[in-house]
Amino acid sequence: MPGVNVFAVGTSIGTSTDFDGNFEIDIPADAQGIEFSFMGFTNQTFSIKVAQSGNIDVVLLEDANLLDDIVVVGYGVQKKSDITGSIVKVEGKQIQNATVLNPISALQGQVPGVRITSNSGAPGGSVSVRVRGVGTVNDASPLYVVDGMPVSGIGFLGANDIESIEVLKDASATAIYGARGANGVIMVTTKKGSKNNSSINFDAYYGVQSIDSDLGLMNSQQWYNYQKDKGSDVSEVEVDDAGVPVANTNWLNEVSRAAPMKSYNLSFIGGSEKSTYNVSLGYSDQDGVINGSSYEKLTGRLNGTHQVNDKVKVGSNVVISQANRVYNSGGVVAAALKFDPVTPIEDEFGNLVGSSFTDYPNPVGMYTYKDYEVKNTQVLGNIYVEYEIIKGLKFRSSVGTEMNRRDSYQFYPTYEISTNQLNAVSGISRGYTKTDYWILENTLNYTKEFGDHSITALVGYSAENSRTETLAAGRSELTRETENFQVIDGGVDTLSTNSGGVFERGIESVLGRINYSYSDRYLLTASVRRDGSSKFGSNYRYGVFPSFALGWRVINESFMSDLRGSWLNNLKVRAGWGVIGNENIAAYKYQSLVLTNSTHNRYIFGTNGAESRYPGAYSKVFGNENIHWEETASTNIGIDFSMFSSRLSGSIDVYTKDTNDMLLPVNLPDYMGYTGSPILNIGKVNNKGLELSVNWREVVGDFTYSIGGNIDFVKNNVVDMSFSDVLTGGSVRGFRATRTEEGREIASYYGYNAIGVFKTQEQVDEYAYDGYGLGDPIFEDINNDGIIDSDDKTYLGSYMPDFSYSINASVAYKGIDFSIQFMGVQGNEIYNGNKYYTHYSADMTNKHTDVTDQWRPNILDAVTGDVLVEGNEDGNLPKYNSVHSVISSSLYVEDGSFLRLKDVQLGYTFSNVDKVGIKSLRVYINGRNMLTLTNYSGFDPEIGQYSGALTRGVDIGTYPVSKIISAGVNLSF
Amino acid sequence: MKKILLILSTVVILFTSCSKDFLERDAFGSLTVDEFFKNEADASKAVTAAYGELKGPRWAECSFIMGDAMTTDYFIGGSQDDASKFEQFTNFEIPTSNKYSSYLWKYGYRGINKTIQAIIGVSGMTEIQLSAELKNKYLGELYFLRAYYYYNLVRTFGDIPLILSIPTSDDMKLPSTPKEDVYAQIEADLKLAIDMLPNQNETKAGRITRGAAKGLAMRVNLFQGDFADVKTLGEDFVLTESYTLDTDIENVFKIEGEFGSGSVFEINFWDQGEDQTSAFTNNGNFRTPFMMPRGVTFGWGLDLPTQEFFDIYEDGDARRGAYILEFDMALEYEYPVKWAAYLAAIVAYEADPTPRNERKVIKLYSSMATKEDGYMPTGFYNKKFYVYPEHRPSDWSKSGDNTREIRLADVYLMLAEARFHEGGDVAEYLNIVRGRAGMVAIATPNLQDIYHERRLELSGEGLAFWDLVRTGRAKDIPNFKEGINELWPIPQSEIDLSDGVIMQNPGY
Repeated sequence: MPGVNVFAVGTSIGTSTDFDGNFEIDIPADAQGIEFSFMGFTNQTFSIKVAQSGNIDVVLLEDANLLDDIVVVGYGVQKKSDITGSIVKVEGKQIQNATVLNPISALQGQVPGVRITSNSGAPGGSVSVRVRGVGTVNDASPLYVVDGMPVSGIGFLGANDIESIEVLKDASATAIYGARGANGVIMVTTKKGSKNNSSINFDAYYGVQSIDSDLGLMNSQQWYNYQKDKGSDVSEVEVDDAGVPVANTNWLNEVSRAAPMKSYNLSFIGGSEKSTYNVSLGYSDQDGVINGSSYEKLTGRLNGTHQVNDKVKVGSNVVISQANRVYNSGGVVAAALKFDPVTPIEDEFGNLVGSSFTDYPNPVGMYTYKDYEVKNTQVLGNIYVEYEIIKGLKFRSSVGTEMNRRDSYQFYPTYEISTNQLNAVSGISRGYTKTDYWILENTLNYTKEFGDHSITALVGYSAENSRTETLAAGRSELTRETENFQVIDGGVDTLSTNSGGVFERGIESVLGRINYSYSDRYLLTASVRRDGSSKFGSNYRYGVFPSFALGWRVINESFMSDLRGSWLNNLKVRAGWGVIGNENIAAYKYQSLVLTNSTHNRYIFGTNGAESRYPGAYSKVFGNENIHWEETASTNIGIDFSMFSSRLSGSIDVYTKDTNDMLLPVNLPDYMGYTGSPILNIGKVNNKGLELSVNWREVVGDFTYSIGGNIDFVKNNVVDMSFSDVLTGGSVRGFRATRTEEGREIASYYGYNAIGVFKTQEQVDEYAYDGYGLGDPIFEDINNDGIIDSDDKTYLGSYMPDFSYSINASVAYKGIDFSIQFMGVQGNEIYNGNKYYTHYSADMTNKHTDVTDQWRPNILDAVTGDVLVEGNEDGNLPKYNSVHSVISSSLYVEDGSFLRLKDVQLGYTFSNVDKVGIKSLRVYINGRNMLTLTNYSGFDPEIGQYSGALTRGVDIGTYPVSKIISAGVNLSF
Repeated sequence: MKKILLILSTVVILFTSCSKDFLERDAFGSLTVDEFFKNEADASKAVTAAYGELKGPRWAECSFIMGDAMTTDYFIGGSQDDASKFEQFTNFEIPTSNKYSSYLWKYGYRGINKTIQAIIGVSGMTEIQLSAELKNKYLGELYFLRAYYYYNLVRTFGDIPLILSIPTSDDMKLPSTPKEDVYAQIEADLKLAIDMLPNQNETKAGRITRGAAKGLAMRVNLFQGDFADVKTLGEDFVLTESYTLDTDIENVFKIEGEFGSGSVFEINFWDQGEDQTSAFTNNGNFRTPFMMPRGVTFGWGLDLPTQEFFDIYEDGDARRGAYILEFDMALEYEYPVKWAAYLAAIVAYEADPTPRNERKVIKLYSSMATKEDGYMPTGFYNKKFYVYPEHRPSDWSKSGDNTREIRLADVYLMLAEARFHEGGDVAEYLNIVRGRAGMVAIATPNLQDIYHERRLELSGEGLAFWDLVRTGRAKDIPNFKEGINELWPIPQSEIDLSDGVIMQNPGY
């Protein structure tokens, strides 16, 4: 058995077994024995005498409590068997080779109830993470905690840096994070050193990303014929003698590429009896599949601990990271979908050209003349000291910081491609945002067992402060456009802009938790946190967030003893309740600020000829002094089980989450005398759901295999939006795709329901809709009044799936390992805004080949009535110029369900490499997003949000998620 | 053990909160209301903001629709499009959702909010921050302004929410306060204002004066039919305030006549100043472009005196020419050269009435402007908002003429009416007003004489309709529904937002 840790007890000497289970160890005389350990198995210790015999048959017994992993919870760790909340642990090794630069993306499909969606497939693009539905129309991002410290995200880490990720899903688990727990908590533990063991690890992969750019759009011949047939003026299309357009540009091909992606990580891990260290350096680089975008990241990390004496331990975790992101214009994909194929990329002189047929910009020009780069530097770190005051009573004090520096560079060269795509004046703009954050935490932890009772108690205090400063400046008319002049001083000083501000916040909290267990059967967890936040006024500055949970380890009851011995290994029932908050709102909202520069408040004093204007000042916008966090009450009930010698294990959780104080913009009555719509805590949203995960794992000789899966169902419902208008979002060329209203899912699609096309005059007469004729879509007359108007708009689905699921399997035989993961969503819809151009608009943008199915009348001879030109009177799409197909309707809504082969990996671990001084060597090939089964006609069914929660699922030219094929190596010395 | 105690006490100290200020963070680059009022300049800005709503364009728009166009003396005019918007008012078919109700409501309450903010802020200032004298004056102005805004609302809408402190989220569903209580508050505010304000010679032109507060108090009491109080206030006014009627009646509404000897309260406008790009941020009078002759000037020609109204002025009444602008008069002012040529052509034609000379007269006349432009022009314009060419601004939004909100002539006629009801010499002040217009005195004026005099003197100033309402004569206006149209409908959106806590006025 490979990888079993072996070490001489009482010394700092250790090693691990090779592939065949061999090991060599020099045992000093003072060693007390030899210990063998392996995750999931009970440790075995042998006396030196036995060890000296040369050949030890070590039979590692599977731990009776195989599931007794240690789970990181807020402000501590717990045995998994003692957990009463809903917490899912993902081991670092499950994600370490994932070809993603943001490790959170590697969690896709790994955790039931956690939905991770790329908002953009661009390198460094944002990812939205939603734990257990969507609790608010505002920012529903979870809280990230790295090594005990709240951070703004985990993009600065590499997947290789991560020891484990715990997702705290229910209120009883997250309430210890109080006002920030409502959207779930993602706890990340970075890799630490290990005692008495040292290794040098090198991990690297190289991959190639690609997208399938065949979306069925027209080539130039198809476009030319189509436009000619519908009577467009195509005289400016350059055609050869045979009447074939000379140019045939596939814009999606032109703007996309097979892009490389690489990642290297080097780490030194080790330690002595008293100290451990983990030093690592990671570098990764990703070019975007859409031209003009890339991302690179350098991460250095240093984790260390030192046992000063038997009472005092100190440690620190430090990460320094720099990321460099190059942006193309967000609209490249959208433009490439629209731009006509008869326009060449450039003219005979090599200049990019515009189209004679559409005003949209040349997609190639959009990144050729764009220079936008953002550099992000982050330094995170904490140092801590732990002091064991008396046995079982531990004091821990930690000070941490996060420093963020965001530098943006934007250069606007002069160019002219067409009258619609030009920049006459060169310009430069620079932005600088700096955030400094510190946190001080003190906790006291007491553990005591007496008889059947076991108690762990925690009290803590934390203070956090952050200050963000922004500074931006720009100038125009650069003296030269060379790189030397791409600085602020390179422009004209009188043509300048500048802005800057400061935002501060403080949080001060006290917290406490008690875990009590009786007889290893009855578990109780109660926690409370009181948060004070500077974001809120004195009325609501402090909030108390309690939780309470019970667990019953049924398996340990005496009446279960028969079962316990046979097929059932674990059975636990959990139930928890808690109240938690979402504090993701802007600062200072509670204050009424005086506007001293408003033009509306001036008045004139003085007689004719001696008048002067006096400035006025007042508080124009309602400062809602009662603004506070969005509060969520949640209840969770779950069952954990394992059976058949722990081969089969799983969990079931059901929950309901009520957000009671969702912030919504409110129409104030005019008699209050303010302008604008302030935000008030008035909305109510409910999410309820069911999560199920099962895993089967078995070792049969050399053969290990596992298969598992998870599925989760969430139902989202906006319960109350009184005082607020319906919210709309997701702009698609002049209309809004989504609507949020009481009794509906957040951001549901809204419009007319098309039930067909008027193909015959009989149909037109039968429906007798005013303003509708042959070739127009038939909209459902929802209120059955014979008139199609806004009263007939209806809900057309939403981005929220009925359920999402994932299936994974792995096999390992001798040195070969293979793993595969599928994930999917079912029952969601996508609002394909691109269809406005490719299917319905009468303009001369490029079209989808499906438009040949547009309804077209036969053209008859006026005298004989003979068909002169055959139309398409059985066409299923509305006629090309129907005014009713370019408004929001079900014509844009598509089934968004998909099943994706998310990750597949084949690896080989070499044996006998120790002879050349290598501890272990594994090579692998990996495929990510290799196959996607979907009916969605756009690039990719993974559509996030392009601007806020109300744009979710609306595709207006989303940067697609790419396929990645990679090869890598995991090497350890 | 000692060590343990030491550590435990350290822990306790560490657990203690940093400080209260740790969670008290103010926004950078701006001030909160609490931090604002620190010096004289701050107080001045807050008070100025409370004045600011007086010159709002929407506020102006509403006042003349209601005040005059809803009577038979004035016709709405303007363009076809303007008329279609306003006719639902002049026809008394006022929908509950209409923008003019909303404007008046919204901007009235905005003025109230600004005023309350300033009252609370200024009141809290120390003597070091603001001298007692200035504080007194500012508060007097603010109490007046609050009364003024509330009076315009209560007169128009009846029972309305009465807000006297800075609104909070608890005030989102306030019921209406009975109008009697609103009036009581207005009178209380005006009483304070009268005590605190200086007279017109002690303060800068455009600032509220003691006389203005007395005049408004008379208007408020008169509207309620409280003639005893009108009389008390009026007798005091004529005794203690030093106003006299401007002897040149043509001068009263000219730019040159601003803050004249008989002007008690004016809303001040200016044709200068930067940022005059938008009607909402400029310093110009918005009534003026509405009422200036259409086609002849940049004006839109709304709120037109009718022929019938023109005709009720007796010959010799100087007010006909001073207050009403005939079309020909407009041509004379606007096209002095052509007008002279036209007059010369008439003389030539009268001397030699050939068809050629007749054609010349006609041609010269029509070359100036045509009054057929617009929606049923009456041929008359409201001269009280006419700006002569020599003061014409470069842009329609920059008219510098002030709105005469309360005039001494009004005060005199209010006093006469109060004396009629409460006893006293009715003729005294009525005849001063008549005399200035060149009219003979009436020995013993009856009530109709007083009403008639108000109609002649105060037309086109936004008061006529309310005179008809308060005296029960509005029922004679065609389509006026008695018991309903004395009030405007409360904006439907306010009723909807309050979930019906605010009640709609009867009949709407």
